[in-house]
Amino acid sequence: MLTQINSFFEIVEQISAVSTEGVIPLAHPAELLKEVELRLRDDVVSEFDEREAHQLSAPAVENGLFLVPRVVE
Amino acid sequence: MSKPDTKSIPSAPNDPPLVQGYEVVIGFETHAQLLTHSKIFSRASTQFGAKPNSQACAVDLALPGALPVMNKRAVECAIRLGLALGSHVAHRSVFARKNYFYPDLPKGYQISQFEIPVVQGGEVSFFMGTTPKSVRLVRAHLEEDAGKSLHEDFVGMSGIDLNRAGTPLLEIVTEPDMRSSQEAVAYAKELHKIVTWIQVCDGNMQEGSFRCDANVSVRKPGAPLGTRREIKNLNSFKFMQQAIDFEVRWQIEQLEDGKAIEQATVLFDPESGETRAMRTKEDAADYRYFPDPDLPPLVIAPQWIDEIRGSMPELPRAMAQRFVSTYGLPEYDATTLTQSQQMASYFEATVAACGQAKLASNWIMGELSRRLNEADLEIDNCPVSAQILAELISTIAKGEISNNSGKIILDALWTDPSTKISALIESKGLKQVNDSGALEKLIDEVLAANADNVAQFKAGKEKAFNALIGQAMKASKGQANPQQLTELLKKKLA
Amino acid sequence: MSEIHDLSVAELSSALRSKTLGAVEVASHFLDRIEKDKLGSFLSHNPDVTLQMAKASQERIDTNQARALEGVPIAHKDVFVTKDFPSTAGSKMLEGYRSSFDATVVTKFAQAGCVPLGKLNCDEFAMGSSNENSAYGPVLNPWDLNAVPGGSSGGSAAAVSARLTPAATGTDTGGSIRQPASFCGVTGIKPTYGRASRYGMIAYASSLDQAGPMAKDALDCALLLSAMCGPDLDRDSTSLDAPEEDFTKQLTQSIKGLRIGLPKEFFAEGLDAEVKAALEQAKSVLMGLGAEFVNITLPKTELSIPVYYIIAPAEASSNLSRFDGVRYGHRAKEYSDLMEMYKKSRAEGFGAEVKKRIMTGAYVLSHGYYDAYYLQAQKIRRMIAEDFKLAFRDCDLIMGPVAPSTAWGLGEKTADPLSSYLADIFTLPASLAGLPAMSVPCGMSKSAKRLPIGMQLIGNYVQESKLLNVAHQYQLQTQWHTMSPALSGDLK
Repeated sequence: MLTQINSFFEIVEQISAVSTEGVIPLAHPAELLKEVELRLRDDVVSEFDEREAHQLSAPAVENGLFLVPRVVE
Repeated sequence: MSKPDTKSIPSAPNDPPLVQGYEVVIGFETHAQLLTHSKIFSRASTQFGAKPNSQACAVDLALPGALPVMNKRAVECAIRLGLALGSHVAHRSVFARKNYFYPDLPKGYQISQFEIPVVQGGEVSFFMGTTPKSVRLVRAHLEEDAGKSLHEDFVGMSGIDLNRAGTPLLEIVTEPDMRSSQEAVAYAKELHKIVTWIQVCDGNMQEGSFRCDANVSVRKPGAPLGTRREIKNLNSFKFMQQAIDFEVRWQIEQLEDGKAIEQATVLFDPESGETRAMRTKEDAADYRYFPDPDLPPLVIAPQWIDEIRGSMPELPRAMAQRFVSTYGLPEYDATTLTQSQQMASYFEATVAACGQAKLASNWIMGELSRRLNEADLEIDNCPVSAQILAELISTIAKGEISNNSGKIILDALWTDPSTKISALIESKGLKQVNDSGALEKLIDEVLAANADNVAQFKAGKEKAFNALIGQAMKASKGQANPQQLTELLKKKLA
Repeated sequence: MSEIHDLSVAELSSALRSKTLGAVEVASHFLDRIEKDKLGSFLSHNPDVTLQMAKASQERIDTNQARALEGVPIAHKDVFVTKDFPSTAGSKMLEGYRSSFDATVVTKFAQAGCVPLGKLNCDEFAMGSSNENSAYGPVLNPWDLNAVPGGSSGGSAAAVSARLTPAATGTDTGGSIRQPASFCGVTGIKPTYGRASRYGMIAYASSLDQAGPMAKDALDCALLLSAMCGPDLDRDSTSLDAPEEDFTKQLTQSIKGLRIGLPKEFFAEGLDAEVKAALEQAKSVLMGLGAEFVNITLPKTELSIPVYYIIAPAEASSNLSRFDGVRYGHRAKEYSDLMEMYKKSRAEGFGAEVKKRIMTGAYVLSHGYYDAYYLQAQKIRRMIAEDFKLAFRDCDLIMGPVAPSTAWGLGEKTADPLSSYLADIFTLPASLAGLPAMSVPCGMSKSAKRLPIGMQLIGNYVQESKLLNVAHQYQLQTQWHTMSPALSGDLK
């Protein structure tokens, strides 16, 4: 895997040669269509207790809590 | 995170109280849970105390395919806080992912804000005694709270409850401007007052709504900043002071012993009164922050800020100033009465009804507060309304009854607020005697009956005067107007 | 009359509506074929669930309440979570995982009346170009069982090609709909970023992932795209707030005078002679329809490879952090502490390619490297998008190959995955820019085995209708899209 990762970086190094002076990074492609803004939703509770359904695929559960090896602070 | 330039923070002028010759430098990071119904990125409830994982929906559990959607009220709270603290509210701010693994962090990253927070700068001003203080803010940003790990019922395991995961937080970060544990606590109390006042946070520290982390370091005055240790999760003002004091003494001891301070995160143990290192904080673990591709930038229009500005309540500091200038109250009274919006409203309603600002202040700060504390009641639930208290105060101001009689009447009103005050005065015979003629007659009788006290007073014993007053009050069955009595007695004895 | 499985979505829909065919009959027909699937294209199916939905569809048809695609079967790529079927994303990490909710795309199809047949195999977490990275075995190309179907939506493409389903959903992050469509001779389209909701789509690279349909032809794709697209403002913050569209409206328009750009970088050396020839032929057909061809340039084409392979793994490394064995998914059987539980669960649950991308992704985001790699890549990404902006001044859409070659042999590139990265060169640019793009069957290789060749059409933002229009007009003149592999007949 290491050889693969190394040759991967050979490809990736190409970008260091590119001049990007003054270019703003593109984080959200949609902004090329129109100005993107975070949409805000109303502060309303509409998700209720579905614990059983959500925990159907849980590896280890007891009394509704997900069990993991002791978390040491 | 934009860290302040650690080398150039000056020692506070004039008065940093040194501990064993060392200057104490403190900065705070406060996490305030916001007063919203639903979570910051999901529509599950934020209500405290629900059964485990019953308020954790797909988004909160980070189920495959779940995505975040922003809560408008959380943003409103950020704007309100920014306005209250004189900060700059960013027109455009960005959410970033803070990546690390922990069982109470379902996505394996926390959605927070890194390079561009929503609130920038600002300050918190307060008094320490009569000295005005001001702590500068670096920033305040929106982020989500993590879940909880429970250890008690499990052997070698922990139980993870994600009800709290996704609760909206504002992380409020100060410059290291504080120079003593008292100042730090005063700052925390003022911030606490502000966030509850503007209804951004419920301030319930026991429930974890308002958690402070204190960054503490020490140095010889003029020296560069020392290495700081972070005391995490201080959720009581009492413990806050104890913890910082211990940490300061510990650090000084280390330095005096020639040992260096290692950067660390510490926890305060209230039982032992000591701080204890949790884990060594490697110089900023690499969180690999990057802008969250699931959330476009938060844009706040100036119109929205203006709208919110228009709807903000008068802030406590401004209100206190107004109480001083409008009602002629001393600073102390004004500050005490503005400890909460509810108390300030009660006070103003009382004054509006009786016009006696100082008396109202005394009664509210004194008798009323005492009774409320004993009964564990908020002023909102005070059995005696502002109107009724105003009536009582009026009768005292007019001289109809004495202050002490007022206390007796308040007792009666406390249990049955519907009783008419005039009826109580009548039935308890509390009507104050203000008639100088009658009072003079009374005094003559008392002087005659207490010749030795008179003699002692004339011989120079001040206490004898009080004894005579006491006798006169007794003779009048407590109904003599004390001020008049004192004046008349003085005249008679001159 | 044609066999049921040879009917297109449009034809099935019409036959069901007119009651020439019954919904249960149609569903059973495909279920029987799925039982005999030797391609490894299906990961799960549940006849009880399917037939129940088919019955419900029939009832609606019988009571004149038929919806747009009532009774038409569809299968979903296993990165779309479903309540009724397990969702694995082709990974051991999610073996047997049952989601408590349906992806929005799945719900939308259900609301259009489609009957779900099951879940389709794919490269693990959508990472791959050959469907050899699935933890549940590779998918075989129905045209040549020794060749790859392409990826990551290999199961979707193979299933449609082998007529195991008339319609399939796929996802395209760097070409994962277009390339397998090309390799299997089916039609597939990746819409503009944000057109289809990503809620319920197991995330690979959030700023690149897009859902899209795969089917026999452009008309089918238009029908399917109409059903699946639309704003999902309540659940996906990156969902495009553009109204739902009927993508079939412009299909019959003439393309006379349409300017089609040919990027010179797409026709440089390295392109298979047969692919080049097929495209030449397609160009003739389109010219015959009145389209005009213009030479254009997309200078940063080559840079799209490093840029994509920085951005996509970076986002993936973070998106896949939730797979920690705590709340769902694979958890190791033995571990001594929390750290070990994390390490082992993830080491056991993830395949090699996924692990590699997580590592490189984390690296390019790490302190000290972020600016040089991730940030630099995001900047070049904008420049690539600007290339397209300039190009679209001179043309209405862009045409080129989907891949430099036809499907390669199974195992051929597994020793050198980098070569498969390089083969993404034509599909990556449109992904990075967020532009709509589709693959249309346009030829067959004549050498050795007959393997399909696809042409790529790239449109400007929200111009899916125009793409489908060109594709449809082209398909009215050609037969490539009607061909199905001999294998599909064997599945009787």
